Amino acid sequence: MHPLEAHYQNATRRAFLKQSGLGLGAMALGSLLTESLFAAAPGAAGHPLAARAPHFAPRAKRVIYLHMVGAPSQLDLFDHKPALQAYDGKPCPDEFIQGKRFAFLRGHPTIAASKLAFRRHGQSGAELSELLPHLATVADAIAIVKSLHTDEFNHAPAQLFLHTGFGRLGRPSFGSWVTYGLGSENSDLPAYVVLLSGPLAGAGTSLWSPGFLPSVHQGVQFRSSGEPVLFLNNPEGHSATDRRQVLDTVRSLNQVQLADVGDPEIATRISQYEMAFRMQTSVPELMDISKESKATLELYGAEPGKTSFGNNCLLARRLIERGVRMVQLYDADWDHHADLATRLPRKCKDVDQGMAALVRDLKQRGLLDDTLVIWGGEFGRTPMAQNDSGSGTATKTGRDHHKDAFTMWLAGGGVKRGITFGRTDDLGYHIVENPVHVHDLNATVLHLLGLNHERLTYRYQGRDFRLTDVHGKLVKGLLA
Amino acid sequence: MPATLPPLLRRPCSALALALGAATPLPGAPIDFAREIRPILANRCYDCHGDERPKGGLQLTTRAHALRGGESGGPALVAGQGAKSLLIQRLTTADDDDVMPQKGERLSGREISLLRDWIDQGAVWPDHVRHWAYEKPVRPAVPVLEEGETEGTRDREKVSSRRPSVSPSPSLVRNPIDAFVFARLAHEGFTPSPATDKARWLRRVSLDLTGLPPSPTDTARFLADASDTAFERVVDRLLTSPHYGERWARPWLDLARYADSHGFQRDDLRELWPYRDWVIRAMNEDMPFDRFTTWQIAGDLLPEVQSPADRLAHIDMLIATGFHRAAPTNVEAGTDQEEGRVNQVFDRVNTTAAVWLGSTLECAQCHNHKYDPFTQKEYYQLFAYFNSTARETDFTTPKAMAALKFTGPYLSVPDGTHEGPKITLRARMAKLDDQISALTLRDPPGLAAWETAQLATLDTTSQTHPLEIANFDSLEGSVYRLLPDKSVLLVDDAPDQDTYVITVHTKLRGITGFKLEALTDPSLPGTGPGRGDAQRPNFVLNSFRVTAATAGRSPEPVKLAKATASFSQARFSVDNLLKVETDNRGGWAINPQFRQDHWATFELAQPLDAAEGTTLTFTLVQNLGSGRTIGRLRLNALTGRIRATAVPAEIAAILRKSRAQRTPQEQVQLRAQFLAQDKATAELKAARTKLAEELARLKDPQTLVMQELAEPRASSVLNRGSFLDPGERVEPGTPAVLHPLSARSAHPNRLELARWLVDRDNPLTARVAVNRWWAEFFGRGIVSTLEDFGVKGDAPTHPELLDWLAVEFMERGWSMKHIHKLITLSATYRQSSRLTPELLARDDQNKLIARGPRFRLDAESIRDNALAVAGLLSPKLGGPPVRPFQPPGLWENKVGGDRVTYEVSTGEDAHRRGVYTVWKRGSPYPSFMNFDATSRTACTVRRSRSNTPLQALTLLNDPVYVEAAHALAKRVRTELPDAPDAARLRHAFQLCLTREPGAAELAALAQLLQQQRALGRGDEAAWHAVATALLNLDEMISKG
Repeated sequence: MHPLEAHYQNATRRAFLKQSGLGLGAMALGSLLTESLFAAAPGAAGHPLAARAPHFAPRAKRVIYLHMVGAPSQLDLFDHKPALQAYDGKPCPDEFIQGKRFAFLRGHPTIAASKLAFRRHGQSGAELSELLPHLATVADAIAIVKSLHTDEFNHAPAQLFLHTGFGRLGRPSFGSWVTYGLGSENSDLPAYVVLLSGPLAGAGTSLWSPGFLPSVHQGVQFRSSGEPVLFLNNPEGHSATDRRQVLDTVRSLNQVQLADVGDPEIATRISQYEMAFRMQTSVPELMDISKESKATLELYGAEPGKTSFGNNCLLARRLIERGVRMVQLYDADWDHHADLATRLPRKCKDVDQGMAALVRDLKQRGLLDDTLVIWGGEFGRTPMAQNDSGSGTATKTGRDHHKDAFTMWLAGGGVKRGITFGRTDDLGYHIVENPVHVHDLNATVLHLLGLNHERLTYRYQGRDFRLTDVHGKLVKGLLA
Repeated sequence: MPATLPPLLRRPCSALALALGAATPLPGAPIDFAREIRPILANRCYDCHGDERPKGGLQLTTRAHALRGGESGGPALVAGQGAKSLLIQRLTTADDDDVMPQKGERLSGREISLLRDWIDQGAVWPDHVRHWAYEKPVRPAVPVLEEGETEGTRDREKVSSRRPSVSPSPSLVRNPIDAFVFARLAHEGFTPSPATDKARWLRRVSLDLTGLPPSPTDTARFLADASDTAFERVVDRLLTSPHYGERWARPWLDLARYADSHGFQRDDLRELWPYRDWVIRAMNEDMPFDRFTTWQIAGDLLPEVQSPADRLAHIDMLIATGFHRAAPTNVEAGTDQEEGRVNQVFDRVNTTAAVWLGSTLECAQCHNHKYDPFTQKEYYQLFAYFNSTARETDFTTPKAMAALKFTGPYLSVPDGTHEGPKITLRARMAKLDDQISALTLRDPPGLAAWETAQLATLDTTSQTHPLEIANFDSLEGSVYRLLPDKSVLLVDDAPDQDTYVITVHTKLRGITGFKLEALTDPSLPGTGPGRGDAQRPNFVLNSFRVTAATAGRSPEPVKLAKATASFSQARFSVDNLLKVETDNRGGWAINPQFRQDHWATFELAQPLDAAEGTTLTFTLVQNLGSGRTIGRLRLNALTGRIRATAVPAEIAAILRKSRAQRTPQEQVQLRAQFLAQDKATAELKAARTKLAEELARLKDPQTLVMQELAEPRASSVLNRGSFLDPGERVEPGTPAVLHPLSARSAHPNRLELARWLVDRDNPLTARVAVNRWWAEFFGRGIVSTLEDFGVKGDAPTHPELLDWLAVEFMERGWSMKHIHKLITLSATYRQSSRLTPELLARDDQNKLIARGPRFRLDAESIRDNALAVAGLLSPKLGGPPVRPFQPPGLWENKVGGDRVTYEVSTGEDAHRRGVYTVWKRGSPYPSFMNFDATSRTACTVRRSRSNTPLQALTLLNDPVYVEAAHALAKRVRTELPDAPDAARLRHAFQLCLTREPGAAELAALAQLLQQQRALGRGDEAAWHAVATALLNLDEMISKG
């Protein structure tokens, strides 16, 4: 490498322009801005997505966040409560409903025991319901946290609370905070990617919004049908050659302008056009899973060309392999107020194989050590039965929203393996051991990424904002 | 002329040299506590060491507290001994556990040395430091510049100046703005940049004042006008353009978090656009800002609108209150309505404080503000002003204790244009009604013939028997209600897909077929029969399967031989339901015959005839998605020979009677049966439906307004901000640190607050407003933290200019256009934006304004500008939100809320200005979001300005920009039909950038044109490539 180039790569962009400008004169700027200097934009120092040093040595470098939109029933999947059998169909003890607010439950609800069989798995003896046979095979690789709790009990606010630390609209999402804190390790793909199976969650695109952070930190949704990224494809009838000619002209005109007016933003613009061009190749290549081995496709239950949670799990692995910092998967339809007996098994069938395959595959490839996988919903569900839609009409048994206790699991990235953390009471209603508030979870996940949640701040409208607001404590019991 | 600068000017300058960040104070120069030290303490220490529960018992809010120290013992500082002071030691220690601050970034070396030097100088810390922003602005004297003076050298004792100091010539000064800016420049040893060329200035000022580029005619006229008044003429023309209001409404609508939907999970659309149009109008009329404020905060409480008779004459006062109705509303089922209401009041308090007071009050929701002098109690006193409006949600039905609807006061805005057409439509409808009802009153023509025909086949034709539903099951858990007519009605939100499993028991014998009825109902979207959305209430039935079980035996599939339907949509024939293999896309559907009952009959291959009764199970799969499921249905068994028009058993009985034997009621039933299949009647009814739809579209627009409750609600401090934990009672009131209420009313309300906000003594409102405008023009405020004028905010770079502008604004009748005119005609604004190495080195952020502004346009302007140069932009003002093209499916694929199909606007509405684009909070227009627009979920004072690859992709590939490139290419070729390439290239370039291209630029474009022609796709494609390149230039999307 030319010594000058090496020097400039270490300098921030503005500092670079200052120095070169002073030393060489403005007219030289344009010619200095060669591709070798700025092509790998996010890799270059000074770029808003340049990789940034964490506060301390990280255990995880990347996160895959699997969100089951609507909130799965922890009582039918993880938090086995044999004691409920004795109360099944009986009125709920008063102390559980006095002074509590529910979304739908009214009057005096009855208890609903799980109808599902639970078994212990692996050396860790993790208890899982029969609906998760695949996850059971990786039980020793995950940490099941049964003592999550949150502040919000409606979907949109609780989704926002989980992902932005605030139950209303307007704050940056978890993923945005992470890329703000750590930057990107990839110059061909966005740092923060979102994949959906099923419709958009209630809180909409706010769940991956950068809030008041610069918009380079917004999550970019990749789509499994149509254009994988909005506006990625060239308009019909435009070949790559044709486009390259246009881009080259844009670049040379921008360089003329840069030499004339000297605004460093023009240099950034030039590099972003190059990245856009690279994304036109890198994104379709990424989304094409047809070249994965048959064994891999079978492991995930993935089928090229389909939209499924399994496909998205495989894509998540492909994304983090390429250095994408933050991948979020949203799977819809877990809000089982009614007919849980039919709907929960169907949903588990949608996700069980894919998520277990993801853990296994990451492990096989040595990626699980520094990749953190998180699975969960925005809150839990009640041990009480819901047999009424809230409109006075009878429905088959389901469960209402419950914010005081729910289960998530984590894997890899410096989290203890094969443990079950936290405990709820015999009814699965209250937490009795090691409570983990959503702010605590977020503080802990940032810690695993090498970020002190109290130091990761952003000044906006006169206030230093944090993902964890003024709360959050590290859950040391989860750290390996 | 005074030989030296007035002292007023000199004093702040010495301090501001530090604020610039480029200079370091000379050793020995006294450090000003209020300007230099307190901001550091406030910003970096008070989070933990403020007055509220200080960590380690240490408070750093007064000198006495600092000298007392905290629990670790000893004073935090020793006056005169910086290095020995604990404060400095804890800031500089290498021990990670001890180093301060424990939260947030470490202090910079410069900050630490300032603190050390200040302690060395004796830690001068006045007892009462009043923050500058809470003192009322007083008009400062305008500095006078003198030829040949060099401020830097004259003020040598205070400012180090190693640079050559050249004073700007006084002749450069065009108005007082320049005097303030240039005096400061001179003081720092800068000279202003030369004036930019006329073409660049014209583009800059046009984009700034109207958001649109100058037309070629505008440009030619201005370039040809060498008179002194040429610039002023341009500014006057732009200020009176109706597009001025469109341009300046944009930032205000961000503040007002104006959107066309509720936000949250049930992100349904709401009608508030008359408020948006009012903002545009008010700005075009240059409504004085004090009135503009009063109407928005409390227009509903003004005396003019108290009598209902006068409301119409002053309707704008009411429309303006939409400002605070724009707050998001959570109508997700199961939401606690009181919590939702309190959250909205919080939003209103916080937004008001941000917009008018430049203050962040949110912190005081839970506790006394840590750095700014606002207490928690004062927060709830402001809250009390907003606490007396009605809740804006309600239960959908009184019995349903979960599902919510959006309510709250609204206003019909009479729109005279509809009156004539409405009268005509109503008259035509009345005529049709008469014709239709006439048919039912006496026996219509054709009835007798129909009766005879029916009777002839009656014995051999089938009869229908509605089946009593024993069990209804929705795989999605849909909620339903069984109606007395044996139909089942689905209620609440429709799931995306659904499958119904219906069980019936029947003793009927000789069942030859089934009839499925898909019925309308007033509760369904658009009355159904589908559940998906009100515009297109279609359903798609993918499969219809029946099993039959007779006593003791297991269920057997029932084979369906033939199907007939009232109507089948093209490619969605009812015959599809006979197929063995079905998928999620095909099936039976009824588009476009919405809003009417439909039926399908299925003939059985073998009749069912069990003496002991039969249990039938019907499975209806509806998996297309988007809620295309049946909203109300009834199942019937058929007996006898199947015919498509089988009459119900009841009608058959009537037919068998003679005319004389029938009761009048029976005769009416019979006529109804006849009319239901009568073609002539159907045509009349269809015509009437069409008219009704037309009429519905002509309804007056509505808009949301504020309305005070008759009885004010009592307000309390909410402990930790929780609405479940009210504490001390409070009355409406304003913060003590600011000016007092001039007249306390007996019934303090929002009007009192509004008048207080625009009181001439309010130190903040005018400063905050002019500062926001300044930032729109220069890319940076005089106070760079537009949203925070508190102690943690940045100090003003030009405090006296800020005060001068604020006073000028108020004294000139709160005229926004006056200030805009001053700014745009100033020499400061006219400077070239060229960034020289020296300017980059000394003032990269242009704090001193030694050059003109250059930065990227906002999202709406980028699109407006492209459409304008392409000649596509519609100049139409106002009206309902428009829906420009966006990739399909973005709105539809969403949990909860009404299903609204995004129907792309046609005609000129496809190319309206961005301010009219529909703003759906949960799914905003993606092309704008890629350019830092906000989803308008909360008050936004300052948008970020990023530079991303998604922006490149948007400009290259978003169909609107592809279309604009085509139009631009066509425009250039049409406007210069026989011109050589070079002339056309020059024209295209000038259309986009106003200025002439340079030789290198022209050459690059010419090369592209040749390369493209070589690709052999024709001349049009080659010009399209040129247009695309131009629309993608950084300069195209920047103001420079």
